[in-house]
Amino acid sequence: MFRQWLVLCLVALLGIAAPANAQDCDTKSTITAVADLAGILKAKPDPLANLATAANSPPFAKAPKTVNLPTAFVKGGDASWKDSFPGTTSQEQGGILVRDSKGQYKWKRGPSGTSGSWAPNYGDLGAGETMIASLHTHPYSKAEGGFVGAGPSGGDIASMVTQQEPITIVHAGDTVFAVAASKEFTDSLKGLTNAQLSALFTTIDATYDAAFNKALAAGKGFKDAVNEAALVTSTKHKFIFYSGPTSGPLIRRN
Amino acid sequence: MSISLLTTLLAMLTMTPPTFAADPADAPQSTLSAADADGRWLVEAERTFGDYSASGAIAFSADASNVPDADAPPHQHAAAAQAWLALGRQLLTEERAEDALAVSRKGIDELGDEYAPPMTRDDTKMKLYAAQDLERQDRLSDAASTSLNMLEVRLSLYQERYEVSIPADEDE
Repeated sequence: MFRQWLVLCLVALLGIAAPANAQDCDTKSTITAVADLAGILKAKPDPLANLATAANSPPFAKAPKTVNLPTAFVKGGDASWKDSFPGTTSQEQGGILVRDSKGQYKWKRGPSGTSGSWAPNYGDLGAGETMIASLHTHPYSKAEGGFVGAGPSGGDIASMVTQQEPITIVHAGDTVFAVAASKEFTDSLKGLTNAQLSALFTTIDATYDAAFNKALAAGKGFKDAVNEAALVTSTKHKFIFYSGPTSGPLIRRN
Repeated sequence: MSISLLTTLLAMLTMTPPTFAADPADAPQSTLSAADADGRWLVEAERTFGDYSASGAIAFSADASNVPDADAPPHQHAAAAQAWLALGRQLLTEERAEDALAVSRKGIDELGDEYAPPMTRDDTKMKLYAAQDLERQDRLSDAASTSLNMLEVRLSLYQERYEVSIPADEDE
């Protein structure tokens, strides 16, 4: 990684400094070139800056409108989805996205779940690493309706009450959904007892059920009712809701 | 509004709602066996549906100072849910999908909502919603199998949460 960076810097230096002849290649021009290079590097925006912001519980109104996903995470999510259909059945898969002390993002695949549940591999969080997000799949076998694109469940969103990661991501085959905690939501948890947290979990889940059934009554199909319920529940409880193609970018929906 | 219509409405409002005799099969019946040498207790429950019946069991540990109440043993609802699951599988095998679906729902009701370990992402309810969708499409066999599978998933989560086991699973 460092070697690639060094090569890149040298190429950039040559491009900027490009002395007309050897006599021009003095210390002054090199210092100028380095300063120019630093300026260029500084000006280049970090494509994952919005992800870091979204993972830091931003105020609901000021949360990023789009979020890019690290390449390793995209590959990890797609591999998880690919492994979600053993034989003719379904089996949820997933893992966690962490950021190390150098700011690098790492995907860590977790153990398999069941056809209707998955548990995050929190034990894989290393020293000096920060939990950014979890991802799990929502596969439906042919016998289960073969749905693709069904986003977060009520349980997924309600789990934000107790979970360690600030962003929950669901890979639904052709679409990725993300639910991020806002400052308002995070602040609302402060000082709550376990009983109050449990009650909040139930309330969020009930919001989802009501929204799902309302969408069904309005004539929506299963998948659309799921996604409508996820959006309504997220908005009501101050979660930032994103969706987009599996490779990103994710677009804010509320 | 005519008087006859008003009379009809009044009659409807004052009618006693229909009552249904409680199904004896739904009554909480279970037996508690004494602890074995390892201190593991066994609670068993039997459930019937028409001419069919099945039993379920949950093995659990308890301290000597905390002897379970034989009249209301812990985990009896989970043993009953296990019985419903076995019954549902049996009915599905015999292509009685509608009955299997009904039985799966009895098991889900009897197990209750307190089954998942705290950090689990529990999507079983979504799959149960999907089963309802399949039922609406008249895909009863798929609806029943999906619903029974979710009951099985919930029972597996229950075992993890309460550190109990289903004896049949141990034999496998």
